[in-house]
Amino acid sequence: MVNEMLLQVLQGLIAVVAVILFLSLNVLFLTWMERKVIARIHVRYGPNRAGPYGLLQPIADMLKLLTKEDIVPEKADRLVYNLAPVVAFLFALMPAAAIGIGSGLIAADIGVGVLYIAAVASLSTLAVLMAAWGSNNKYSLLGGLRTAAQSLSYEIPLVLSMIGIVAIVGSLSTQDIVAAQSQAWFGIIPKWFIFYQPLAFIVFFTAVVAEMGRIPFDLPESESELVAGFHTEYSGMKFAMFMFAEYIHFVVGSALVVTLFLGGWHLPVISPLVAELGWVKYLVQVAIFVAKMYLVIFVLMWVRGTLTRTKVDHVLSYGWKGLLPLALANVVITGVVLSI
Amino acid sequence: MEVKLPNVILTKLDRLVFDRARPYTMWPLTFGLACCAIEMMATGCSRYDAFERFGMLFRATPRQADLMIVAGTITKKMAPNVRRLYEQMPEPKYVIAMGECAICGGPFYDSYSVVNGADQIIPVDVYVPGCPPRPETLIDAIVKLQKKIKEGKIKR
Amino acid sequence: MAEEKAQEEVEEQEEAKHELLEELRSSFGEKILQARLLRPRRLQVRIKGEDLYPVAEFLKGAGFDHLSCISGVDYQEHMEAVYHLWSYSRRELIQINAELPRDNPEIASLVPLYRAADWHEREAYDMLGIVFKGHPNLKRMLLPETFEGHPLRKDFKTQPMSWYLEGEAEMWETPVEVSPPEDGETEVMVLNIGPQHPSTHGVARLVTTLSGETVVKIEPVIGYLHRGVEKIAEMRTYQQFLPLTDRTDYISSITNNLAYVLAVEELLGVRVPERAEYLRVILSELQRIANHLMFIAAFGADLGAWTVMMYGFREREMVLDLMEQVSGQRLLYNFLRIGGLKEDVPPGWEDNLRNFLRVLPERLADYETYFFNNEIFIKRCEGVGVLEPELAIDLGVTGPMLRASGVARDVRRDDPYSIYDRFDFEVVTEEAGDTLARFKVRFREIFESLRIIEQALEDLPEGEVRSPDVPKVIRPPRGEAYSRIEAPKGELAYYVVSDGKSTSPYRLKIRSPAFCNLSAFPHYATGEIIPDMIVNFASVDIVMGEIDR
Repeated sequence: MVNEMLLQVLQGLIAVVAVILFLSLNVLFLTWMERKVIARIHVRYGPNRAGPYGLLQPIADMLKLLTKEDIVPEKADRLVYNLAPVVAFLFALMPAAAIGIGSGLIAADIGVGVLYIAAVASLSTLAVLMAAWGSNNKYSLLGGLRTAAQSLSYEIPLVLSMIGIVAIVGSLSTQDIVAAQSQAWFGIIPKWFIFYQPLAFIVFFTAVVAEMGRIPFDLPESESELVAGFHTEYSGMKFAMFMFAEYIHFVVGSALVVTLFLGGWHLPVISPLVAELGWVKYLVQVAIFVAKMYLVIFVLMWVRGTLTRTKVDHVLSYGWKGLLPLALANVVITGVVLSI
Repeated sequence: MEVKLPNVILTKLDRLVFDRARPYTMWPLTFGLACCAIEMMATGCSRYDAFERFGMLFRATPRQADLMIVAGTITKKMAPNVRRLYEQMPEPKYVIAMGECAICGGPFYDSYSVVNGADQIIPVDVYVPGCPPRPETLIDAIVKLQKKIKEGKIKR
Repeated sequence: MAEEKAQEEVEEQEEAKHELLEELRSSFGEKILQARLLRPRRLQVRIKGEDLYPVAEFLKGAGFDHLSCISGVDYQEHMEAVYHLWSYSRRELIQINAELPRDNPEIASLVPLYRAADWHEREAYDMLGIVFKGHPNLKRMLLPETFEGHPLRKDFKTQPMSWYLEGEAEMWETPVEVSPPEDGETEVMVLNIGPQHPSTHGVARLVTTLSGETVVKIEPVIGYLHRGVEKIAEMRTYQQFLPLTDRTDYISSITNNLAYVLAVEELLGVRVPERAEYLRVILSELQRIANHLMFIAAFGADLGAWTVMMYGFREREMVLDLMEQVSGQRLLYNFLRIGGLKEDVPPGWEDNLRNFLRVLPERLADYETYFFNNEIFIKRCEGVGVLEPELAIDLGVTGPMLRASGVARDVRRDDPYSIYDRFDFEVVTEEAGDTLARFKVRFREIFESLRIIEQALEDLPEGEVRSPDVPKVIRPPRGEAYSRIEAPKGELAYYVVSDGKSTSPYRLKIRSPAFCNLSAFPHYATGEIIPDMIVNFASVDIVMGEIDR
């Protein structure tokens, strides 16, 4: 009995460490990749001095931020100010628990997976609001309020756009959702939900970008308007934690897109080939998943390199008047089709 | 002679690890004063790309910046703000005085409203001559500053 | 041929002059101390300070609708407030010299007639201590309130080296004045944008009152780059001052050179060789292209489109290369000289220029796709910050900003300087008056500049590039010159006064286009939200070096 409990705790711990490790490695790589990709779009080289191809850049950044002076503004609300980065970091990690990167390779396969992710993801707004309020800076406050408005208006289409998939699969678990996409027509064309639910994909993708706060929806920290938005007053490690949280959102959001719409770790032709190969199977699954994830990430970077920032009122009206009706229409259409 | 061991270790660590990392991530403050700011921007753009290559990322808020490039004339009206921006930056921080104006007032040395040099209000690590300095000169200054940090010659 | 034409014009002007000046004389009689024609399209009237308002009112009625500049000169025995009015309908510039007693320089404010007078008068008050009675907000503009003395008065002493003292910081610090909300109910927030802010393009400061995200009130605070250029001019010789003109509008330095050089040449009465004139036009237009590319780049950056910023700078580098081949400098060229150019362009430069003329339109096609097919961009700029044409004229707005409001006015065409009357080009206008229009005007002007360069390159004559008539020591005869040119940002003018004895200007005043354009900014940007304000501000295309001088 005691042994079983210990085993469970140990399993949980391993899962937690694995998730954090996976995310951290990806985040470190992402910061480098983002700078490189954007630089290439800009007809530049990007970081290339720290290590080969500048690959040590994220590590140098980390080491530097680690030893920077930690400034707390005099007029700040100290408790809230200090707590905000931690909260941001934790809430960013939480949704990752319910996303698997291979069949069974999941920290917690909870029955309400998708719902849990949606619920936890929206919590990160709280951290932003805390930072905005705690810093006692006008730019931060404006940034925080923008975040609140923005995530509120995009949370709803985000959740609604997932309903269609949930209705088709009949389960909220991410494992089940991926499993439902394992088949293929003629063995080549995959039966991914992006083909079943194109409308939902568009809505979901846009809403995810907005939730991540990336261009064209990077209003909370739009540099040219609000200097650095909600983390204007943060320096050193606290700022690093915000950045970390932001990139974790980036990874998690992309992973979610892959899980829900791009067939997770399934790829026609290759997946059936390795299905009986034991541990190699898992390796291939992870590789496929990560490859797809980086494809999504690349598209997001590409978007950043191409588009301009939207205006705050446009963002809101687009969310409520554009995405919400689309998401509702998708729910209705899915419902009608399923009942026939 | 009393030696505090932890401090020695920390200093060693600082010199060995962090001073190796710092030169590659000097994030400059988005802060241009006058003509030199245009050349500073040109240095960061496609042809020279001298900031991103060296791992420098422009930050708009002083709280997240390590390097202040004083690019242009400091007027007496602006001087308190320059000083404040410097004070808002977290340690360790570096200053490059770019251009004649930031070195000594430049062509405006005898004006009633110009501060003759950035070093009158903030400590400067590297001076870049030129009016305005060419991007190549600024790159040279960045490399010099990197060297200075690596060799532990920054003293405050 | 050109001379004949000029001759004809003089005769034509002679009659016109008589008409207006006679009218002035008959209406005001003794009050007009002097009224004369300086050169074609330039009139001068000398009056007593107390008669200014009725004379200005009369002139406004006579069609002088554009207040170009207000400056002042301290002649030690007396002071003069100098007004330059331009009539778009008559195509004439009138200079009013209003004499004032030095111990009590008071004059009526022209703000009720021309709203453009607001900032000009504040500056004149700041620099010379001329008190404008009836001005709504007569406070110091470039210097802090606590500053003692007026720098451009002749008895103002400057130190050879000014060390920065600890106590001085307090004096120069400009506190924000927070006005309480007017209705007492809505809570407003005062947001200080600048002097260090990513989108203030230098060290401008906007004290913004916000209600939520809506901008209720904007008050630009300038002077953070006030380097006292106009005072320095009085301490340098005519040639020595040339490099400093580069450093006022540092994004388009050739046009600054040109305006200054034209003013001094007018004082000296020097004619510039043909080849130099053509090269001046080519270089100015190249500079305009560089300026507008820089504008596009900065505009992109303000919208969060860093790619555009990089592209804009990449294309700008091509212009800089051409300039560097000519002058050896990348940014501040100091290439024009009084009476011509520093030297001829290097061999092969013309081919490089032709190559540039071929490449640039191809590259600009990318921009067109990027901006005009980009719905987000269009949505952000369309209908934002509409500046009505009447208001624009009243506020003294010039250049692309005025043309974006549908007013086809361009100094190059209305008041040709150098040899601009020989080229065929379109004065680009847009009707909307919004930020998008301002962007489009600048974008399209690049193509017009290319056209001018092509024409100039075709007719480029051989010969000298520097007039042999210019003496080594420049000591112009007593007089005043006001040279207007169409700088990339608008009407740029240098008002140079020579006392006939000294080798340095007695007084030099720079009429900065961005200064006047910025004064219009609060008028059209209030009532919109912060993101709009940022694009509105970017669309002014300011350079602080020129605004603060």
